[in-house]
Amino acid sequence: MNWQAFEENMKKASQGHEAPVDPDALWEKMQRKRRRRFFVWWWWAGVFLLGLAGAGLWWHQAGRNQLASQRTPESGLRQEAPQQHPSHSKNAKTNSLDPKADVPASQTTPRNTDKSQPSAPYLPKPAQTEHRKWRGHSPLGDLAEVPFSREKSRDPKEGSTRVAALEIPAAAVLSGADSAQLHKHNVRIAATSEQGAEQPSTIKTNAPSLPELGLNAVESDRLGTAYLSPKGFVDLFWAAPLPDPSAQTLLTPQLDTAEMAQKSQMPKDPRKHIAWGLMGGVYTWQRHTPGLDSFPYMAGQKLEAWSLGAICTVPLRAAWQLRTGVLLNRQTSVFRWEFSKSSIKPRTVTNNFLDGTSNTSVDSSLFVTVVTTRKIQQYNHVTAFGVPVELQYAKTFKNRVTLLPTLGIQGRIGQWGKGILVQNPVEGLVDRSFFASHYQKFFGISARASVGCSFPLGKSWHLLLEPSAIWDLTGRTNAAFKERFSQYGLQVGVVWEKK
Amino acid sequence: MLPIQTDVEALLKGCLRREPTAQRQLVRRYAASLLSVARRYTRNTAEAEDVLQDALLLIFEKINTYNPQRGSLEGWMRRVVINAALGNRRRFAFTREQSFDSPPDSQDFAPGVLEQIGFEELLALVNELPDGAREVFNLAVFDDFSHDEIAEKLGIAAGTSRSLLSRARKLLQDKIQRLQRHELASI
Repeated sequence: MNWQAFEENMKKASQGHEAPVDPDALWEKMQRKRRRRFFVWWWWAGVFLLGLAGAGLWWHQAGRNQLASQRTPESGLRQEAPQQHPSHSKNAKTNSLDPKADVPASQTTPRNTDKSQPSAPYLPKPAQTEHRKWRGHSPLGDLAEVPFSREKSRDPKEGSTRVAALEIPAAAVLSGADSAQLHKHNVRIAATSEQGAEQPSTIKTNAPSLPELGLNAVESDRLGTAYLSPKGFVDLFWAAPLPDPSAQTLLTPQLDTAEMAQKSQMPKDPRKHIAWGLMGGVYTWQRHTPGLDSFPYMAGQKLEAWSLGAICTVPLRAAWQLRTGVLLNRQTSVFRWEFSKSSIKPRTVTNNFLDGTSNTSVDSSLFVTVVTTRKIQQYNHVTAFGVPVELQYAKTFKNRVTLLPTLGIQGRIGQWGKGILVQNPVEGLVDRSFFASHYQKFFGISARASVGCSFPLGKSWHLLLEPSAIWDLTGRTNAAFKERFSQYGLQVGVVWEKK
Repeated sequence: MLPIQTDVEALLKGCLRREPTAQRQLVRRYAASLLSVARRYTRNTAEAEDVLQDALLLIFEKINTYNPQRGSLEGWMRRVVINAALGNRRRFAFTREQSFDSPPDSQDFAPGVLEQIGFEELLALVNELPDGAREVFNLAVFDDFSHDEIAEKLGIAAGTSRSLLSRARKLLQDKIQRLQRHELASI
């Protein structure tokens, strides 16, 4: 064999050669590597975003300092240190609204009555009187109203808001002094700095959908990103008063649409008051037995459950609400069968006594067969009181139907009874349990999940239909018996809410 | 234990849908042969397995770029493994062309010597070659790459590739001859 033939042979051998490998172990290693890469990717993405935010903040701060250095007394801009604004410091610490101030500034407090001073930034007249309370800044400042107000020109008076924004595609809006029709799609990374003679405890409303808190802050900076279109915007903004005496920052993600703005129909909290109701349900259930099988469980038995109780729903922030209550839950498993026993009994018995011994003779022609039938009922009753604590998200569609995805836990305390009842023609119904009155108390924790639909019934009442599932997280406290149950069914309820 | 799926087309479709079951079956079916490829381009089994994992993840990610009309799935995967292995190795700095005398075919072997060398032994000998020569030898002899393709893959000149192949052959022949002498001496 020459070298060339040798190489050919090597090549052929390599084609079919297989190295020893455990494919399953290899697969597991690949999965671990894949997960690691995923986390690394997100870690770097986080670093990138933080870097971007830091750079933006630095850039904005630099611009703000430059702006401050360029201000002159003629510009009319007040440049006051935070300590000169006790209201600012005070309100910045609380960072909340004065409830009495839930009215547009233009209707209550003139923004700047001193005619010798240039007016404050543009403050459009609110179109509606319904306003939503925001616990934060307007995300885009004055620019945020652009897609909604559609105003071609704004008050050219010099404002105290300075906005530096980078838009893709570059829109004409690069400063707060003028605005332009936005493109169909806009992405904005913006940093705003606001300094002005705003009155404390007022709200200014640039657009019905975007009530901007005056936040009583004469100085505030914002940094964030937003997607805007004529139909609405989605944005994520970080806002902080600068200098920030309270060291508070606000992250205000929000979603809004132009339609809401025009109709002034901000999404309302579906529940504004505590709602009370009654709820019941019917279920089927399953048993899970990690421990010993003490449960008389047989094929064919009916596994039924029902519940009844009172609930109340407490509104939380936005569309979130908390539901709790007391529910009586009864699980039953009943297995009925008939047990027949045949016995042959003599009809006539003749006793003959011979020499003191006893003997019995039976007339075999007179035997009869007797069948005794017993009805046997094997039962389990698990009765428990549960206190659920559930978090709900309420999403209302067309002002009619409210979807209520719900997740929560419940504590259960109850009693378990099981036994056998036998009914025979002679004795009637008799308890034949191995342990008469066998009851066992238990305490457990369950998880609950449901997706409910709430339909309005008149002004204050709602009908609740709720497919529901309940899983026991803990079994009985007895170490030997750890049966857990899962329960699936439909809950129906009526809820009353004060209007 | 999952059954090994024999239908490559169904396997391919499953992988295109990113089904874990199909991906796992692909691993089970081709891991051994692909590891053999990776092993030739790496110094040890651990490195080869690492390369193979990277290559398989890349295969799952890029399997939509595989064109069945241009070759078999296994051939495509072998190429991906080779690229991953080459990418994993340090980049060679071939700054100057090297030339070697005497074509390898002039080497004389005792009759039957080449026939006696098993594939595993040969792989061990190839593995002892310097990195550059080994990779060129692997690409040219085992995987049928042209010198132009090798040059493109390794970022070297085609002439360098030829030289490295000649060098690899010569070194390999020397090793085989040494092995032959050693065996003769031990008799």
